[in-house]
Parts: sequence; C-alpha cells; structure tokens
Amino acid sequence: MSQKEFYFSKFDDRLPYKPIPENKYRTLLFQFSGIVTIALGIAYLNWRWKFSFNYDVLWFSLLLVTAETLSFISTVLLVVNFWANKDPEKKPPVHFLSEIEDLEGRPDRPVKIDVFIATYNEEVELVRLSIIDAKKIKYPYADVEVKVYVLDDGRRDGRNPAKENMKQVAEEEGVNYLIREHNEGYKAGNLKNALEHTDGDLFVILDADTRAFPEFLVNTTGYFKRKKVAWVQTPQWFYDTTEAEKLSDVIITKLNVSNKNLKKIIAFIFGKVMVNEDIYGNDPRLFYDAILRKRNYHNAAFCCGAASIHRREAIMSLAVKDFSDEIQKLQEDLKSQHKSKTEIRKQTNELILHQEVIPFKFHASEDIYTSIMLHADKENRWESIQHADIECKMLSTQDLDSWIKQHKRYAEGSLDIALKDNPIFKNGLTLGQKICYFNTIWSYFAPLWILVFLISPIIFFFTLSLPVRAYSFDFFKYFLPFQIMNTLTMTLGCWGISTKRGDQYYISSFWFMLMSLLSVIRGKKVEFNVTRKDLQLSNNNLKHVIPHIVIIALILIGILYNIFLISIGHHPTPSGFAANAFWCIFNIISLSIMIRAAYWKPLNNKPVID
Amino acid sequence: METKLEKQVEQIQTNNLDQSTAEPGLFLLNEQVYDHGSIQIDDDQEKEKALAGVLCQGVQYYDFKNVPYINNNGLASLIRILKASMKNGIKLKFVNVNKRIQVKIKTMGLDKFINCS
Repeated sequence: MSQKEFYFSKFDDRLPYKPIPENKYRTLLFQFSGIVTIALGIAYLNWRWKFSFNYDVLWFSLLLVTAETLSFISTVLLVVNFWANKDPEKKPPVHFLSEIEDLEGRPDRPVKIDVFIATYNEEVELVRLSIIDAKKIKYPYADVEVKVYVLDDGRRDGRNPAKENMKQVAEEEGVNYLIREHNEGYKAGNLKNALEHTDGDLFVILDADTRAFPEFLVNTTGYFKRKKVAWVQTPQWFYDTTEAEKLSDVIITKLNVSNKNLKKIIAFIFGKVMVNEDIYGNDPRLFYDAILRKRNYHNAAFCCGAASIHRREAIMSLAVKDFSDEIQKLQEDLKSQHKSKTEIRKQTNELILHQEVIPFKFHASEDIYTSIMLHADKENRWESIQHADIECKMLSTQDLDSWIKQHKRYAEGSLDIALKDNPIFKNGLTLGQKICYFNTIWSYFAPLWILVFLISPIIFFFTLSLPVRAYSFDFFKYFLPFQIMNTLTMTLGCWGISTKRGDQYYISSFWFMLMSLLSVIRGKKVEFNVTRKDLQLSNNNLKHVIPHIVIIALILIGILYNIFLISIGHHPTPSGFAANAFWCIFNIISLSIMIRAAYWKPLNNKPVID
Repeated sequence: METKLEKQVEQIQTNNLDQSTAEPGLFLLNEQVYDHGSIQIDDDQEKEKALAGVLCQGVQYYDFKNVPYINNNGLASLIRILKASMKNGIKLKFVNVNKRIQVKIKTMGLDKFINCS
C-alpha cells in the first residue's frame, strides 16, 4: 500500500541530535560558578533592598526589586536542578521476568512487553506510520512477546461512516485494537482501559504521531533490571521543526518583489542571513538533554507521556494504594463525624462502587502528577530514569494557536497541582525531588516578574522616574558581576545546547502564562485538549500577540518621547534613558518572536530567485 | 467497555446461583490474572479449580489455598471483582489466604474492605 505524503515527509531523513557527553570538569566548574552566582545574587539583592530604593517612587522600586527577587529564586532552583549529571548505567535488554522482579516462588518466564499507541482524532494514515514503526521495534529474544495496541479513544471502529476507520487500519497492520465507550479521564483513562485489557510486564506509551526507532526496547528495557525503576522517559524529538529560511527570500516574498535586479540586490545584502529556524521554539532539547536529564541525579526526572516505558507493577501499586487511600480517608472522615457503623459501611460500599482503580492520575498533567505520586511512595521508593539518547521521533505543533493551547495546558496542569497537592509539602519526596518539582511549578509563575521587567522601562519612559536611586557605580558594582556570573552559570548548565529560542519564548510567553495563572487561581477547571499536529494556518494567532504589539508600541513611543526630551535638554536622567533603552532592545527581540510566529507561513519550496 | 473480568462476574453471578447451597466452580478469576503472574497458582491442573468461587447465602467465597503469590496487578483485579460483585449485591470473602498475601493486602490498605482470612 502506498503511503500518504504528509507535510513532514520531507523531514524523514533528518537525524536526531546526540546527547551532550558528560564531563566532570565542566560539572565542577558549573558547581563553582553556581555557588558564586548565588552569593553574588544575594549580595546584589541585599544592596537592592537596603540601599537602592528611590523613595520618590517607592511603589516602582518595590515592584521591580520584588520581581528581581522572585526571578533570583528561579536561578537558585536551576542551579540545584543542574547540579550534577548522573546518567544511569546502560544494561542489556531484559529477557526473563526474574531479571526485573523478585519471583517470590513463582516460576520464571520471558517478560511480556506491550506497546500502546494512544490516539483520539488524528488522521488514521498518520497513525498508520506510527504502527508500522512500532512493528519494526526489535528485540533480541524471540520468546519475548512484544504486542502492539492501538488505543483508540475516538471510537473509530467503523460504526460512524463520517469518521475514518481506525480499527480497519489496525487490522490491516495486524495489531491489536482497543476502544472504550466514553472518554473519561482522557488520555489517562485511555491508558487505564488498556491496562485492564493487557498483561505486559512493561509497557511503552506512544502518541499517535510518535514513531519509535527499532532499538527503542533494546536500549531501554535493561534499566528495569534495577528493580525500583518505575519508568524510563526518552527524549521527545520533534523532527519537523521549521527550517531556516534566507532573509532575502522572506523579504522578497513578503514584499512581493518582482523586479529581477531588486531581487538580486536584496539577495546580495541579506542572502547569507538565515531566519525562522524553529520559529515556534518547539525544539525541546534544552528540556530533555539538560533540565530533565540532570534530574537523574536527584531521582526527580518526571514522565512526559509519549516515548516512555513503564513497569506495570509500579503503576498498579499506585492505583491500588490510591484506591485504598480514598476509602480510608472517607472512613476516617465519617468516624470523626461519629457516624454509625452501618452508615460508614453504607458509604464505604457506595465509594467502592464508584471509585475507579486509576493507574495514571486523571488530570490535565497526568504524567507529572503520576510521577510525583510514584516518587513520593515511601514503601516502594520508585526510581525514574531520563534516558539520554533519542529513541523515537514526533511531530510538533505547526501553528501558534495550537502551540499556545498545548503550553497553556502544561502551565495550568502544573499550577493546578501546585494549588491542590503541592510537591513541596508532599510527604515522601526527598529534598532534591521537592526542589526539582518546585522548579517546574515555579517556572510557571515567571509571568509575574517578566511582566514587571517588560513594563518597567515603559514606566520610566513616561514618568521619567527611576526604580533605583541612580544607575550609579554602586548599582553596576553589584549588578554586573551577578549578571555576568549568572550568564556564565547558565551557559555551563546548558553546555552545547542553543538556548536562543528558549530564552525568547521564556519572555514572549508571559501573556498566556499569566492568563493560565489567573485561570487556575480563579479555580477554573483545567481543560484537556488534544494537540493538533497537522499543518494548519490558523487565523486565531493574532489574538495571542496583541499584548506583545501593545508593549512594543509603547516602548517605541516612549523612546521617541525621551529622545525628544533629550534633544530639547529637558530629560532629567539621560543615563537612565540609555540603560532602559538598552534593556528594551532585549525585550523587543524576545517579544517579536511570537509576533513573527503568529504571521509566519512556510515559503513555497520554489526558488525565489531564478 | 466492560472488562472481560467484569463480564465474567456479571454472567456467572446473575445466572447460576442458588442462594442456599454452596456450589463449587461458580466463576474463575479471568485468565489475565493468573496466566500472567499477577496471581500465581502452584498447580496448573488445579488452575481451573483454584480460584473457583462458591456462593453461600449472598457471600461469594474464594479459596486461595493454591495461591502463593499476588502482585499489585492481581490486587487491582481483586478490587474489580469486588466492585463487580457488589454491583450484584453479593459480598466477597477470600479464604485460606496465606500470610504473605495477607500482609500484601494489609500493606496496600485493602484489608479495610477486602475480607480475607
């Protein structure tokens, strides 16, 4: 059967990155640099809080120094997160059950492995690609069963002619097909259903667009020989991120230049400048190869769903414990209310009937929440592993609206956990785990200080009041060493990984993250939305960048206004203007990425210049 | 979708029961549970009988005398059996449960609603 051509077919030959090799000297240098950064940061903030306030605009001084302090907490958390790299030892793949579990009197047998492909509404031919690749997964032992299951939450079994037939595709490919009659719990519910109908000792989770490489199991199952390893997450590698484009081509296309000579001039001037590579900042290398990988040191790498492999026994222990905890909680509540035994029994029975045995928490961020619960299990002390090498490829969001919906869900899910079951107060987690989980949650509070950093120069431009007493020698004496060391520390922590897009999106995401924060604080239910992975040019993009456009406009107006004041000799602090204008260059570059992403459309593949 | 296990419980409990007499082999835990190590049964020939339940005066009894081992997946299956039985107004009791399984049940906090001895 000939395969359908997709927008990403042209990227099929792309090769994944290699993980950054460990280097103990770099780690030591990072640790030294991190400690110095924290010391300098404390000195700077001490000076800021004690000696730098401009009491004429105390509110402004307080606003900025509070934002700087909150931001500094992020720096400290990142230093702890990046403290050391401890890639776990790789071992040959598992053959027998006894290698991964204590048999406790049972006879031994080869392990069983299930591969789950979770789907909801994705194009069936796209899922077929994932099925085909899943079938190609190798295993060195012929007696080890590797079964592939399509978990179709879209009920596309042919009953509705308006829908594509997923069941038929599964049958054509000779793999198992599971559905359920409702969507309770979304993806977590879909996995729960799969676990009730299957029996693998280990199971792999793939999304509809996750295409596993043949060595996936060979490279990951060996970790389970450590009998406390509950799951192994492999990096999610998006192989369809946008390609770099020549700036000259972009200019010619956007301005619709048709004159050949003009085209040549533009090509001569801008031809070597490349832009728009990974315009949506989808490349998650920084996250998987630095942030999550270094959490191995703290046993705090969390599961991200797709491209992970799990020990069934671990996830089921959580499910059973959760079930019994709910019952126990109810019984204790009723006892504290002095209810009769009959009443307690009646209500317990009702709860047993309605309560489900849920392996993955029914939550918008089911992966991280389940990880927290497993790490916090004091009886089992489950371990997690972030595997460094890429073992599969995936598709990324292809428009800004989908990107924002996806990241909003991550943000709201994590913030919801922070409000309802904060890992900082979670009994059973180690200090390192608490700090790492808190780091993830804290990162979603970033809009609080980013917004202040964005509007502070604007406040200055229009009030002509500085948030510090003066940009004096004292200010730079404390500020510059801290900033320089901070930059050096982060460079060492993320060594070998480009952070350009990540830095830009960190700033540029302030608005939707702020909305997420407000939404969770207001108690709005976190919605689970399935991320669209197809190429679409949405008209919903512009609404996401209105705040960015407003801020940039205010900055530009403010700069012009201040230049005017300087030119007529009426500006009280030209040095303050220079410092703020310089700061604004960075802000504009960061904000503009999302505006560019909102308007971005792929250039035709035809050459722009003949 | 009802699981195979729930279907079995439903069919057997609703069709075959005489409340006054104890009859062996009313239903078996599904294949998934014992074939794959969740609940280990010593003797293969005994497998069919091993986890047969008997119903007596509204209580379904399971004899665990040939069951030396249970894991968390097996415990989850017991909970599902319990739920399926309760739906039909039938109580469950697991008898001849060895010490190791009893400890496991207690460790997981299931002893508050799973009746075993």
